[in-house]
Amino acid sequence: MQKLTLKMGFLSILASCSNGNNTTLSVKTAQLGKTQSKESILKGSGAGNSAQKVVKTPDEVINASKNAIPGPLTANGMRRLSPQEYDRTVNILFSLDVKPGDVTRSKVGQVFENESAPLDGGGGASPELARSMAGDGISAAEKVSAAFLANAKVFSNFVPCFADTTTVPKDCISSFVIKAGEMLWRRPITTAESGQIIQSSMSLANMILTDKLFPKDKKPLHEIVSFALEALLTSPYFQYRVELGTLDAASGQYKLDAFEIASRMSFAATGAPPNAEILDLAKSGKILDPQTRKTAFLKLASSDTSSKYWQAFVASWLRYDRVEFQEKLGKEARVEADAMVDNTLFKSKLGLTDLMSTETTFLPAALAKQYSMDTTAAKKKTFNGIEVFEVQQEGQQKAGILRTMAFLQNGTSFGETSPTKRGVIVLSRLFCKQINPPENVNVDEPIATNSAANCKKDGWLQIRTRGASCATCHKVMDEIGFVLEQYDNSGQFRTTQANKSSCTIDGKGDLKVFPTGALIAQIDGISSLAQNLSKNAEVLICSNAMLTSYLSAKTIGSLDPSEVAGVSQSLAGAENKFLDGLANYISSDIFTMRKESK
Amino acid sequence: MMNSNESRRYFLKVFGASFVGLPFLEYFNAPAYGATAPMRYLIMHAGCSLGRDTENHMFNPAKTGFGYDLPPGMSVLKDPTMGKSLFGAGFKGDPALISMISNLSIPMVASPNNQKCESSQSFHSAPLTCSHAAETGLLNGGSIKFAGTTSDNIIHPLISASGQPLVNTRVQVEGLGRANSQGTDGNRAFISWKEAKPNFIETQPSAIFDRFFTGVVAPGPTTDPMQADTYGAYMRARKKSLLDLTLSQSQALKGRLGSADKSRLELFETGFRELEKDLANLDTMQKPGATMGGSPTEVAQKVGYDSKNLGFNPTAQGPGGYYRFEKERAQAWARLWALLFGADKVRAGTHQITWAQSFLDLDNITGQTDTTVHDVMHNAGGQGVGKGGSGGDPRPTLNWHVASLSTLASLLKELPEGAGSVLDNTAIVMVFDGGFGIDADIQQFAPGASGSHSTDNMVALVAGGAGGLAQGVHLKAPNGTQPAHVILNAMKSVGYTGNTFGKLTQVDIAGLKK
Repeated sequence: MQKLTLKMGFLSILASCSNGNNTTLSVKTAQLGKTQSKESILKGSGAGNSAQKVVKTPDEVINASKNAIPGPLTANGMRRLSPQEYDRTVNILFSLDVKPGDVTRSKVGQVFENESAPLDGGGGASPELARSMAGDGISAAEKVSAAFLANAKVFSNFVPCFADTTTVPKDCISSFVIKAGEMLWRRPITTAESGQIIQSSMSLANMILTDKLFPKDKKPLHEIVSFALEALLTSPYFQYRVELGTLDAASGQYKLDAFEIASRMSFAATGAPPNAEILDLAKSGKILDPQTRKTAFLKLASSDTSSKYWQAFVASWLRYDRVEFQEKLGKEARVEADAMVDNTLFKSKLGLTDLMSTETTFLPAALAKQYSMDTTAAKKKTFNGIEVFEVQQEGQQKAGILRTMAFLQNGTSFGETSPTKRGVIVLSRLFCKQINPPENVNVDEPIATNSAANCKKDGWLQIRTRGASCATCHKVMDEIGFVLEQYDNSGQFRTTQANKSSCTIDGKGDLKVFPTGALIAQIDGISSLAQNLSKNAEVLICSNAMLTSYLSAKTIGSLDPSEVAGVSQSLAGAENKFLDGLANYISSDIFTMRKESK
Repeated sequence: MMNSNESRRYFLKVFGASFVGLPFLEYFNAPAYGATAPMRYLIMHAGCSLGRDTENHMFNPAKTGFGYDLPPGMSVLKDPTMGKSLFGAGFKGDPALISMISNLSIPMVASPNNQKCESSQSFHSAPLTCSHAAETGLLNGGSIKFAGTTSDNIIHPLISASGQPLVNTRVQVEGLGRANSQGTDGNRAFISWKEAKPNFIETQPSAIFDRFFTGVVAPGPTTDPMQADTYGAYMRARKKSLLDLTLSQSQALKGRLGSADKSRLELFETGFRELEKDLANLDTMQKPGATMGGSPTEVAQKVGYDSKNLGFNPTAQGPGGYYRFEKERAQAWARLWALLFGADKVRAGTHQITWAQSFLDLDNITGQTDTTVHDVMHNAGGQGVGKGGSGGDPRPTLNWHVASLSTLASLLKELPEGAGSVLDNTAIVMVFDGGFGIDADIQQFAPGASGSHSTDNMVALVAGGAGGLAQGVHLKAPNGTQPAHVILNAMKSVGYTGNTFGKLTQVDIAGLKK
């Protein structure tokens, strides 16, 4: 299989050096990559610093990243947990099947689940919103503590002590706070910190015991453990990932400590906090060793949790995470897509762009029937508890993730496929193009055409006649959609328009550069489109930017080009294989650094 | 340190609750107002129009006056079975409590009379802004902008006691960002605006409950006031400890942060300090006297307070990770608004059921699959963003919206206040996204396409008897009357002395006032 490798060996550095005459000094340097010294990273670079201009569009970030020196994530020192991260934390650390993140109000991000929540300065923050989110934090904690108390096994594991209705043993509370605190705060809790919580807990215990408040339905110990757990969960040390680092004066960057590295690595691998094994590596300092880190990461990445985490990434990247699937086959559609991601990235250890060209898919029986695919000779497997057929796609069907019902559900509008919306998905998600809805046009209403007697495609072609402002975008967006038109929104192949057999659908269109309209390739069928996309260098760097966006929890437009370059470099070093590239990145020095976000 | 609640608790212990007696408990919460009952004001919004594209609207009773024939969109008022099916076991309906003002419209084009609010912008923008702020809105890049101030912001300072906040709430959470192009912060999700900026809107009933009732309302029905009081003191102390610990940790962390992180954490702290204020206010906020709706616990019990899950906390997400359980949340909000008004915690606010061009899935509400609120109002086959189904019957959707209003009105009716009920001192107006008729965008009737994109034949529903508002009557407003005129009438009923609202001047609607 042909591999794409971004040429990262030689990098152009543009260092803006104002000398009063607006002179720009261009400096070329050679062969960074593997030979890049630790010192050079610590000191930063001209490019890294010059790239601190305000970047507004994904295009600008992508283009600037091509020539940027790889740098660490540009991030704030603390970031609020996303609802999913909150949920995973509780699910994994406490083995509780509860979704407290439901009430943390962080909206679905523009791009990914872990994008900064409103109180991360995402705009629109107000005292009312702050109050509401604070209340949500408490509500979420209460939800966890209720589930914790309700699960006797989990409770006894964390609180292995006996207490009747007249006592609340301080030692018991103390050991619970220290043990749970370390797991939830992702570092050992200090004596002063635990002391405060224990003191408050015992004061409340005194009130309860004095007033005999819970004689029937709850033991005092349970209530106080519940309070202590809520205190740990409400704390900023839990609600935020605190990865501050220590300032390195020479580079102006921050070097993360062992626990902060452990936290960053665990979240990068699984979307969840460090487990006991990783915390031990942090305590011993071994995590500072790149090879140890790489090994630990690959071990984490071999888990189902990791695969599921990255399945969610691809679903967000390609937007089928927020598609309202049809009532029928929605679950099966998601199984197919997730299994394909698991197989491509984790089992076959290929790259993100290989998702477009992979020939192997996994179909639940009902979906195979929907696709009219013969599964007679297919191997049966189980994925996420569901039986699937491993099918090799052939001919026109060979289009990887693009051919899945999950992806094809994208861009459905008023019960039908929308060539425009499908084109927008491809351009925005695979080419990282920013496409704004037109002003004064409500794009959520049916498209108005006067072509009732004509074919659907004629209606879309009409849009181009409504002036240059419409034509510029539609002649790029819709052409991609015309290719995908051969598949309806449930993945069924078609060559004629529903209810109008005289209207043929030929699956042809032009792949063009947005917005210039320059021709990339003439496309004949979805397979041709998929092959073109999987080999396209712009798609590769866009996928790297998407990955960086997920790792740094920021929109692409707010990424620093140097951090995209950092991720790209690591992937390039592994021939863009996803897991190996990510392991490279995590074992690199730049992974242990943080550049202060402006 | 002993706070006021603890002192109250220990006072009771010393002198004995049975000796002091329950009425004495209210000594500590003496009402600030005298014999005059407070006014309450609530604007509700339903993000749907009133008929399908091809069919006459669903709010067209033949009769006017009291005892009018309920149209298809309001039949839930006389059909408890439908109400329980659509809204849940807590449904209450009484046609005698809901008035309907019909023959409303918003002019579509510029008029020489610049006092009129004109729907000259795209549909979904002007009906919304013309109704709530009596100002033409703008649709810019898909985002609706309000130019003016909505009535709740005008009324709030007029009728509220010191410290009583304006509260804006919403049922719909799911929808935006998935089903249309607006993103989750689309302006259409807000109906309370002040000086062209949206007010924060709360979607979590539990947040409002906690804010006003933590440790005030007992965790469940209790016949032991002493126990309830002690428990309340404990709950407040517990919450205070939680807030203290969190703020203490935040302070310690702040010292290690750079400026950007520091400001982020300060915002975090702001939230907890606001909660601290709320907690402190629980002791000082006015509570009703014996002649008002009752103590908060009594009111809570009357409106269906559920001790097990607070009754106001259906926050779980549904399949796909989006907030669902709208049916449960709508019911929770109706009860909570009754509690807020009945316990006199809040006197003014807005409650948005669904937002303009609502793409809220209906499967959780009406049982209709593959369709949304928006889609059932359009009747073309295959409608539905992200949906494969047809539009579907709009009547269950309309009745579901009406059920929120009717349940709230009925609950307020059950809360005694003075010689009457809390409802007698309340004005509630529910307005809709559109009407039925001439398409507002293309200015012609377009059967089969966009008859529901119309600002003709609109209605407003009114509940409450504040200032002598008539209840249970159908009135045909004079030609040219707009939904915002009904709001202006409601404003005047609770004491607004002005004669204008946004671009509109007062139009008396005969019969609206007894």
